[in-house]
This record gives sequence, structure tokens and C-alpha cells, in this order.
Amino acid sequence: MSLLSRPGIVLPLLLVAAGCGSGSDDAGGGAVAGKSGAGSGSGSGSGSSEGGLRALTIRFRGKVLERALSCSEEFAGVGSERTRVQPVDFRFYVQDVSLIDKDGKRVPVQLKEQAPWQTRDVALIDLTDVSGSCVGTPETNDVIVGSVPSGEYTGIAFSNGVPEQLNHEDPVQHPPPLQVTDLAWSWLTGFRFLVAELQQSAPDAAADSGDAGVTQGVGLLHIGSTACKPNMGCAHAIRNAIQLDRFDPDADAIVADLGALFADADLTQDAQCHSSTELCAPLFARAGIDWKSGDSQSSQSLFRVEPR
Amino acid sequence: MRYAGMFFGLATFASVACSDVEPVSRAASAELDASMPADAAVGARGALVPPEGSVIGDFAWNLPAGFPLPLVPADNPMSVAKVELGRRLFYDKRLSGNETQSCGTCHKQRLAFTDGRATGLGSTGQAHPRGPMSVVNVAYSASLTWANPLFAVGVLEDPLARQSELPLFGDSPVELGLRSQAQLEERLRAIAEYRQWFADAFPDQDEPVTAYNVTRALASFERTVISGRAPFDRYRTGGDESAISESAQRGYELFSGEELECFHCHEGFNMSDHVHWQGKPAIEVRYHNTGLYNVDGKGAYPAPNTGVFNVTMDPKDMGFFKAPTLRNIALTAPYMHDGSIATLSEALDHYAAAGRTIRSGPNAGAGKNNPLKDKLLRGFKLSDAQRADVIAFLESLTDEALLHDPALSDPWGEEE
Repeated sequence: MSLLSRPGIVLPLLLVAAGCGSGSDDAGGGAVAGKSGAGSGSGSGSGSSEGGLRALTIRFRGKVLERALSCSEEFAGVGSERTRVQPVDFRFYVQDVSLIDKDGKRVPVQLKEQAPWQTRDVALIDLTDVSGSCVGTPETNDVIVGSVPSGEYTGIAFSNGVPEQLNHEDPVQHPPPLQVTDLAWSWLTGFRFLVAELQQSAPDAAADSGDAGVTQGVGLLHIGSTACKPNMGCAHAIRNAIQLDRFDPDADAIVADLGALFADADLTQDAQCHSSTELCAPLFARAGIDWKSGDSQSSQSLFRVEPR
Repeated sequence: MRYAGMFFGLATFASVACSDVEPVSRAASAELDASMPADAAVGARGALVPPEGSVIGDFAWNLPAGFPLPLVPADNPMSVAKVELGRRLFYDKRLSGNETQSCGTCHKQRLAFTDGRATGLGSTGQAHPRGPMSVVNVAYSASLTWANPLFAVGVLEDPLARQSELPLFGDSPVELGLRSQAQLEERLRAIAEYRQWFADAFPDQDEPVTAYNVTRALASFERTVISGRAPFDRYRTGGDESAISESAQRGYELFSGEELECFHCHEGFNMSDHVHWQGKPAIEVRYHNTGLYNVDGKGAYPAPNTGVFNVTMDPKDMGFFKAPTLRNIALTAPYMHDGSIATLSEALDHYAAAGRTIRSGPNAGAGKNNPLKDKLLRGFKLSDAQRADVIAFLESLTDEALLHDPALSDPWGEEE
């Protein structure tokens, strides 16, 4: 057991560094070291037993505004025109998960290696199956499992993204959830960090407009790093930085609100954002990203906390 | 496995490439072989020896005269079994989600590995915004697709293998429409012949039927799709003065002249300035804006076909595309990234006008005045006879041996 006294910090670091590619470890090793640096500060004394770490399950809950997300139901009042919609797809990666203690200090959550939904670096939350109006994968996952040093926590922070040192590697060489799936964004040699799609249901008035070539009634947000140059990475990281206060990991869930994400989008028109055009601006803002810079911004309405 | 270091940092050669608007200037006398590697260049016509290293294990390149060795990634060496596996995969419709299309559907051997359409059509009926590029001589391409500097030599270790993931798995638009690498692996592992073929191609692996190996085998096959035995080659490097007509010979002179300027971008053994090969001293990844569009008067191309800009979002890259090979160009109509030019004669019109003018509609604009246009697009005048000569020359680049090479053909006997 003595080996387990600090494994949360040391062992995973080695595993992670090995995992991001043999050979040239400069990029991967450096990035991971930064992460572990924060972690080692929270590593409690050497003599502590397994009581020093506690297991943790972070639970997400899909919603469309105030109602539970469902692929077989319609939801009213979504978008700037208060449209009736059906969910289509709602999935996102989560990286850099920390709990926030009562002093405001961020304590990194050590993710458990658990295929196919998470590795020690990144987890995938998938809130839609393939029933009803939904597409994607039949499997769903609404939890992240890991461990943190025992303590009192009052908040949580995370980002929707894939760590940079993994984002551009060849996904066919990776274990899930970073394999080539329909979340791979192959043309920019990266991943879509967040996919959120819905469609207008029963477009009562719009049905006879017959405008060929214009996709109406589809709300789509695909978030991923853009403005990429060879060997220089992507100028627009497009990773948000979510912080939720008053979060009790044992008693609360994190609501991911597909409806709130599209609150400012006109779903009677084309509302599709592939992280590359001005149509993204209102959607990015709701997801906690500034459209112009691609940086994170403090305000967001995609996530909120509620009791389990 | 070693991509991280390459992407992040340290190799910077290609970083200048996408903003490299400066045309390569050549000596006044047109020299087709200007971009030839010194050690493989033509000493005297017809006096060519295969470059050293043409045989690797059981695989022999059998390159056309004057062709350098293609670059092959260290972790994906050529072998007969791997190339053959790649050919089977390339033409196998089970590589599409609904088993209706293979790579060969859009890259037909008889059309020099294109599909004859203006823009591609995927397995579920979605149209691609651009046309399928010819696979011919892709082993020599410095980067892949029409305009993506990320899929380049010096950026990715095996750009061709990596590129195959776009048509296999991409969904905007859907091409072959596989949903995941697990789906691909499960499907192939259930086929006894493939288990054997993968074992033959990757003999030292316990579980060789992987998506990773699919992409490597496809790349290995594609590297063998080499064209350099056209009548023009017999004329140019084979010493056969009668291999092409006198009209084609005159067309070649026009093509190579400083009035038409074609040869600057369509230069060298692959009739393209976008080439790389084993031992080439510098990686050059050039793109050009040819004034095909100018929808806002400031140089814009219609979305989503904005070229390198689409990837980098750098305004300097608007409308920049690579100069494709002209080999077999008579078979690969319609032309340009979006198939918006139907014939070789109309393509000449575009260059003669120093950029295309579109008078009405959403894409209206004077490409001639595109501020990002390559400086070499100055326009020219051609008589009808001269036009026929240039087209005769372009037609002399059709390589019948390529079109009928059984080693490149559909092993499933299904090619339409």
C-alpha cells in the first residue's frame, strides 16, 4: 500500500507521458508536467494511507431548458424565435477537471483510466443515443470517475476540450475516447470538443417556404480548434474554462443545457456553426468562448449546478 | 507516434509555405526538368538509370525514366503484400458505412483516378464541395487535398495515411461514411481473407487487422499509382521525336514559354511545383491564387472553397490552392477544385484572361482583379491554331499504361 501513498500524482504522470507517444516527449511531457505541478501541491503527506484520496463520480445531466433531455420529445421555446425543437446530438469532451476547495484553490481531479469513456487525460460525455430524433452512438455516458485528495470542496472547474498534446496526434493510434469516431475533426487534424445539434420540429409555417439550398431549422454547434498552421498549432484554441461555484460532488449534478446553448440563435434560419463563421458568435458566447479571439470567457450558460 | 514533436514545434520548414506567394522564377529558357533532383536528373535524353534504393525487400519501384524515389515514412515501408492489401482495400465497398462505395468509386482508374464529376458524391448522397483529386503521383505531392497545409510532408509523418481518414470517417460531408474505427476493424476481422492478407502485410503483429494498418496499406498502394509513361515522356526523356505530333511539340514550346508562363507552377517531372521526393533538399509547399474568383472585390473565393484560408483563417491565404499535376489532364475534366471549368479550352480561357470574370449570380466578380492573384497570371493571347497546339500537348500527357495497369486495377472486378 505504501506505493499507493502518492500514486495519484506520480504514477499517472509516468503513464500519461508514455501514453502520448514514444520518442519525442518534449511537447507531451511538458504539458503534463504543468498539470502535475498543480497536482503535486495538493498531494498530502507521504505517510498518508489510502484515506488521503477519495473516489469521485461527477455526474452530468442533459436538459433542454428546464426539462430533461430526451430524443423522443419535443421542446418548446428554444432559440431567439422560441422554436419547437428535437435534440439530435449532444456530446463533449472534458479535460482539466478540478474541484475547488473552500479557500478557492483548484485541486486537480485524477481521472481514472476507464475505457471506452475516459483516459487519465480526457473524458467523453455523451448525452444522446440513437433513438427518436437522435443520431450518433447508441451508447451514452453521463459520468466522469476519478479521485481527489480528501477534503472539503465547494466548486468545480473544467474545460470542454482534448488536451493540446493529444489533439493533433493520429487518432487511429489512440485508445477510446480519442479514436476516430464521428467526433474526429480529421481535416484540421484534431477533434471536435463539443457537438451539439438539434432540429426544428414540425416547422408549421416554414414548411411551404421551399427555399432550396438553405438549411433551415437546424441548430448545430461543432467546437474545435481552428486557424491552424503547419507545425504551429491552432491560433484559436476554442477551449472554454467553466467554473461552477456551489457544487457538492456528492449531492449535485452538472446540468448541460442544450436549449440554453441555442438561446440566441434563430432556429428558423440557418444556425450552423463549425467554429469558422460569424454564425458562431452567439453560440460560442453561450458555451463560454469569445468568438473573435477563440479564448474562453467567464460568462456561459451551457452548464449549471442542480441537486442530483 | 512521433507526431507530437513534429506538430509542435520544431520542424518549421513548412510554416512559411502557405504564405509563400512569391512565384519561383526560372531562367528564361524553359526547362521542364528544373525541379528534378540532381541525382536523378536527365543527363542525356534516354540515358537514365533508376535511382538507388529502387528495390526494398521484395518491392521494386519500377519508376518511369527521370522520376526520383518517392518519400516513404520510416514506419510504413513498402512491401508487395502491403501494396496488394492496400489495393484490395482501395477498391472494397465494405470500406463504406453502407457498403455502396469504395475509394475507387471516386478515383476510377479509367479516368486517371478521378470520377468525371464536378464535385464528389458520397455514399449517402451528400455532395462534396470539391472534386476528387487524381491519386496519380500522389506519392510525390508535398501536401494533400486541394489546399490543406496540415497534411504535408514535414508536418505529419505519413500524410497520405492520415489523409485517408477524411474520406473514410468524415461527416461534413459524408464520403465513405464509416462511423468509427471500431466499426471498420470489426467488419474486416470478420472476413477470413482479410485476416490472412493483413497477417501477410504486417507479419510481426499479433493483431494486424487495425484501422491504423488500413490507413498504412491504403497509403502504400496509393504510392504505387505512378504515371510517367505518356507519349510526351517518350518524346521528352525517351528520345523518340515522333512520339507526339508536331502540333503537340509546338504546344509544349508554348506551354514552356515566358508568354504563357504555365510551366512555372506546372513544372518538373510531375508537372506541378507542389512536389517532394526522397532526398529533396528543401520542403516546398506552395499554393497559388489564380484569380478564379473575386466575389467581394477584395479577393474572396466563395465559401466553403476558400482554399488554404479555410484551414489557417489567415487572410493572406484566401483562394490559395495547390497546382495539381497535369498528367492525364485530358481525362480529368471538369477542372479546378470545384469543377467549374468544363474543358481544357475553357481552362486556357481563364489563364489567357489573367483570371476569370463571372458576370452574374452569387459568384460574380472579376478574378482578373483579385488582389491576391499570383503575379505570373498576366494573361496572353492565343490563336486558334496555338490553342489547338497547347491542347494537343496536354493530351500527350495521357498515360495509357496507367489506365490499363493490372497492378492498379480493381481486384474485385467491380469497377463501373
